[in-house]
Amino acid sequence: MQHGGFKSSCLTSCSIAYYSFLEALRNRLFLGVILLAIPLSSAAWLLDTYNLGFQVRLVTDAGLTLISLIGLLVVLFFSLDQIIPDIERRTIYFVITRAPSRHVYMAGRFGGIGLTLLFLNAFLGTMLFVILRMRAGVWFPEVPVAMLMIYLKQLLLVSIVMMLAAFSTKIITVSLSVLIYVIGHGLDIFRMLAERKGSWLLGWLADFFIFVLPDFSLYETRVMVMNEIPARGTAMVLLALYTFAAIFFYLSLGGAALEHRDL
Amino acid sequence: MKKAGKLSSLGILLRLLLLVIAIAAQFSIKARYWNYYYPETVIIDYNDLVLQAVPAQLKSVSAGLMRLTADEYMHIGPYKKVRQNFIAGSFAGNTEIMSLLKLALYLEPSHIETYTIMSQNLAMYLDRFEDGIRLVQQGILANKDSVDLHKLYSAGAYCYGFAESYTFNGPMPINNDRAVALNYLEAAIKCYLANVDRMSKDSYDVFANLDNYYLLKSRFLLDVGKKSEALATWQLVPKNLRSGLLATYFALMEQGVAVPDSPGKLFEQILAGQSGSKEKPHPYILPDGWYQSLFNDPKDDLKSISYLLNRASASRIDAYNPFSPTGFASARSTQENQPEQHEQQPDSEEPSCDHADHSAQECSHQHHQASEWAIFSEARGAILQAVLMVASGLLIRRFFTR
Repeated sequence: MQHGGFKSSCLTSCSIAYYSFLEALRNRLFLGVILLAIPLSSAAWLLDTYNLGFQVRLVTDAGLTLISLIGLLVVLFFSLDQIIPDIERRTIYFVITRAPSRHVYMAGRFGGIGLTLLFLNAFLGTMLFVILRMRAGVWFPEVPVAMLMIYLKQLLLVSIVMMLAAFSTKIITVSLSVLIYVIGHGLDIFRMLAERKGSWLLGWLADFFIFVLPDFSLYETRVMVMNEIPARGTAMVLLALYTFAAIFFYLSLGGAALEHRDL
Repeated sequence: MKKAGKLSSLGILLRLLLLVIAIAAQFSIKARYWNYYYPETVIIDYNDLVLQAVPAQLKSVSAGLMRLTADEYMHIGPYKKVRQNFIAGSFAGNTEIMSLLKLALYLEPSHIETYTIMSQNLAMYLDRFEDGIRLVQQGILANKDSVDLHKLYSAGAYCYGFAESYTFNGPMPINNDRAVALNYLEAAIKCYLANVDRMSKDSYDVFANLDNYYLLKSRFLLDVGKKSEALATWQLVPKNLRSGLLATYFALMEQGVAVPDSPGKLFEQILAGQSGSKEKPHPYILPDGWYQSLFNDPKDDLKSISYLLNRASASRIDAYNPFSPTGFASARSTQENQPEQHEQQPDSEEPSCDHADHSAQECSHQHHQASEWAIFSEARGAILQAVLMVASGLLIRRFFTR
């Protein structure tokens, strides 16, 4: 690809991402999710049942779990709304006639969801961070670090959902995404069980899936935050590199599937 | 010909009859087997009513998760940054767990242990005596038919009987009320005896059992001045539990020796009698070197485990199998030998070696590998996967794109 072509592709992707982000912001479902998250996050004050004071660990744990769950909902519902409705309503024709390739369209749609998630995580994460600062009186830098890790995890899941959405229906996409999400959290355990079983076939299959499926257990934030273990810079850099490599892989697969699909 | 789809009056009557039978069956089943459908939970407000509508299994699972989380918080201990006043490994004074356990009780009011832990924590350590007692009473009301009801009564007895020992010099210090504690204890014994046939052997509690109840009762009876009743109760305490000052006190009573009003006063008398003697035997014996176990840093164990487990391979987990010859014992012994190796080279902070592969050699500075860059060896699987994914993505873009 020539330099001008690459620049044009990037601009087109950014443009698609921006309008996808605006589209998501105008979605009533997104507004509903935010309105649901605000009272739940503010419920940190209600958790003090015996007037024992502000419970830092509980609020941090519950807050991060809540943000992760809400992010998961947004990923599943909004990623599905990116490609499949475009194909069903035939609006994809207007986009891909102007885009250099379908990869660019997919990258743009991915960027749109990425921006939406960034907005949501920044909003909820800041709220949690401020609540902790106000009530506990100390800064909690582990919260932004955990938010970054959650965001990377959500981006990876978005790329998988978009890859699946490129060649299957809504129901199959949701089912497979949830399955991959669940399996991705326990790959090491499955591998260990396969090794324990002593079957080389199972062991080989487990190894194969470990290299094809994403390892979501790498994004585990709870142990780090709960035990006050400081995050290592190199670990974060490696995690980001791993995430972007995996995203690139799944979006490439999705883009190739979309290229070969008769629309 | 009859029109299809048109209901005859017989059809309507038949349907009505079926509906009446269904409704009658519904009410009959609920009336006859009410205890399956209506728990004993006290419904005070709309929240309780709404909670009744949530499926019991769902509530139970959620409550279980909350209890597990509370247990995890208990083991983690205080958040160092905010200087909380409790220690890891004990429920005592732990404020983080209370909200979770309270929510767990809302969802599953039949979990007896949660009441006992919370009530003792509130009454003894968190200066919320009334809340603790109220919680016990709430638990008793919600579990009137439970086999373990005696545990709740005994928790109440424990709070009333011993709260004074845990109170601090605040404006309203708590005093022990052994008379009330005795009432709770008698209720506990009554419940225990009433349900002894329904108890399984697995449900034996080290504290909440009949023998301990008799022991406590005899003590409380002494404190309220009922000496003869106390002695009668003491006769029910098994021999293996009869030890200490209380046993001495009752042994003297059994022999007809005149004893003071309480074991405490007897102890003062004994001390006064021994004040001339300088020989004081140690109250306990500890094995040689017992204190060394206090200086094992758990971080070292954790580091070696995480180093060996590195992405949880089964062969590496085998290293921690205590029955394997290459198992945990040998790993521990290697680790325990390391401080000695360090001691041999006290002058050099970074001992040198002439081999590059530390994993194949026994060298003392193995722990220093856990530096900032050791993460590359720890995460090599993830790095390899990432490289493969990028390469695959590039190949897909190159060969599978029109």
